[in-house]
This record gives sequence, C-alpha cells and structure tokens, in this order.
Amino acid sequence: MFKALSDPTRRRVLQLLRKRPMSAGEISEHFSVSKPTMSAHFSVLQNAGLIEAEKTGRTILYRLKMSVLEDALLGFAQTVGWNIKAERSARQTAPKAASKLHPAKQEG
Amino acid sequence: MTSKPVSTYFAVALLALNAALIGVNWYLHPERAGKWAVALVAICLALIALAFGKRLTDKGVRGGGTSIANAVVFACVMIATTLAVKLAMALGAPISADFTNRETMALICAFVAFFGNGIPKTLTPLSSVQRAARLQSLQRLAGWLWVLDGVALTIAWFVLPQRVAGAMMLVMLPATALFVAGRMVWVCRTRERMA
Repeated sequence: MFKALSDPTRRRVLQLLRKRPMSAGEISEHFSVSKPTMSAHFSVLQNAGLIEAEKTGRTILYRLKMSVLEDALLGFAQTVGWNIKAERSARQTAPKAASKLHPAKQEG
Repeated sequence: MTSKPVSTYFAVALLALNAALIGVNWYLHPERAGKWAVALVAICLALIALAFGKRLTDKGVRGGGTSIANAVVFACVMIATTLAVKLAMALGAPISADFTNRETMALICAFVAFFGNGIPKTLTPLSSVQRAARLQSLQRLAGWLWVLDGVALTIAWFVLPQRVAGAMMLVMLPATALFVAGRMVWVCRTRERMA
C-alpha cells in the first residue's frame, strides 16, 4: 500500500476515482503517459487493494476501494508530496556525490 | 488497518486464550463456578459458529466465513480483556472497578471505529456509474463519521469523567446513525427521481 501511494501519478488516479468510477480511457486522458505505463499503475493499485476493476461490456471500469485509514494516508501523502522512490534514489546518490567532491577524505 | 479477512486460526487462538483465562479465573474463584461454566459454553458456541463459517467459505459463499470470524474475534477480545482484568484484580493488581467499565466501553467505541474504517471498502454490484458515484460518496462519508466518532469516544472514555463520556456516547452514536440513514434515504430518493 505504501508503494502504491508513493507515486504521484497513482495518487492522482485515486483522487480522480474519488469523484466517480471511471474507465481506463477516461483516467488516461488526464495523464501524458503511455497506455502500458498506465496499465502498470492500475495493476499496482489493484494489487494493493485500493481499486477494483469491473468489466462492463468492452470497457473496464475502475472503482475506488479504500478504507478510511487508506483515504487519510492518501491525503497525508498528497500534502507532504510523498515520493519514496525519489527519496531512496536521492539517498543513494548523495554518498556517491560526496565521494566525488572529496576523494582525498575517502582515501584517508 | 484494513478490512482484510480475519484468519479463522487467529479467532481459534483467541478462543483458546479465553478458555485458558476462564480456567485460571475458575481456579482462583471456584465460588463463581456457574458464571465460568456459562462463559465456557459461550466459547464452545463461538467455536461451532467458526466451524460453520469455515464450511460456508469452503462452499464458496462470499464473505460469510469472514463476517463470522470478525464477529468472533470482536467478542473474544471483549471477553479476554475483561477476564484478564478480573485475573489481575484477583492477583492483587491495583485496578478499580471504574477502570473495568471504562475499558469495556472504550473497546466498544474502538470497534465502532474499526468497522467504520471498512465501510468504504465494501463494494456493491455496479448498476450505473451515477448510482455507484453516489453510493461511494455515501460510504466514504459514513466511514469517516463512524471512525471519528469511535476514536473520539475511545479517548473520551479514558480521559473524561464517566458521566460525560456516557452522555457523549448517547448523543454522538445515534446522531451519526440518523444522519447516515437520512443521507441513504436521500440518495435512494434521488435515484428514483432520476429513473
């Protein structure tokens, strides 16, 4: 669930679904990413149990399926601009950048 | 905290814990044998209900076993905490009767919050997008109201005088129930007008 909420695109999908159930196409119109990428996002959200897909004819309709606690976490994540992936890569690149600036210290 | 199905094994473990607590309390207070016997019978009935729920799940009845397991866990937690407090008092712990009452009421309010948390996750079959949107909005509102009520009352039962907490409970819970019921009627009437 934290992984699902850590991505800004997925959070925006959940915010759109708060208003009403939407088809995959309707949701994708709000984003400038490819269909396979959007499908991957939907898949992550479904695996986290935050949305549910229902097939109606030839369309797949997505519905929000969040508990109150998950809803509150979404609001919190949106407020603080939660991005776990970005924070992890920043933490990983910070020591590398430091070693490039001070190679003498590293050798010492 | 989500509304994932509660494991039957967790419910069975809680029942075993309750049986053990009843046994110890019976040993310490044999003069109350009648009450302990009734409690043991209740544990056995809960076990039968669990077994019935498991059969429903095995037969493919959606949600039946989960609801029964959730109800058994709720009952077991209530009974276990009361028995544990009684045992502690029998062993000489400085616990007042006031605390046992507060603890019981706070647990009830905590369960109101727990079940309210799961309301928005229960999806009804999709008939139309407009109806699903109104129902979703109603479920979110109901869920939030019950969670906020439950959390506020749980804190109130530990912090405020019992009379005040009791009065709050008598006002907040029925008011929330009436408000949610009123909104549900409004949603259904809106659907009929649009049909």
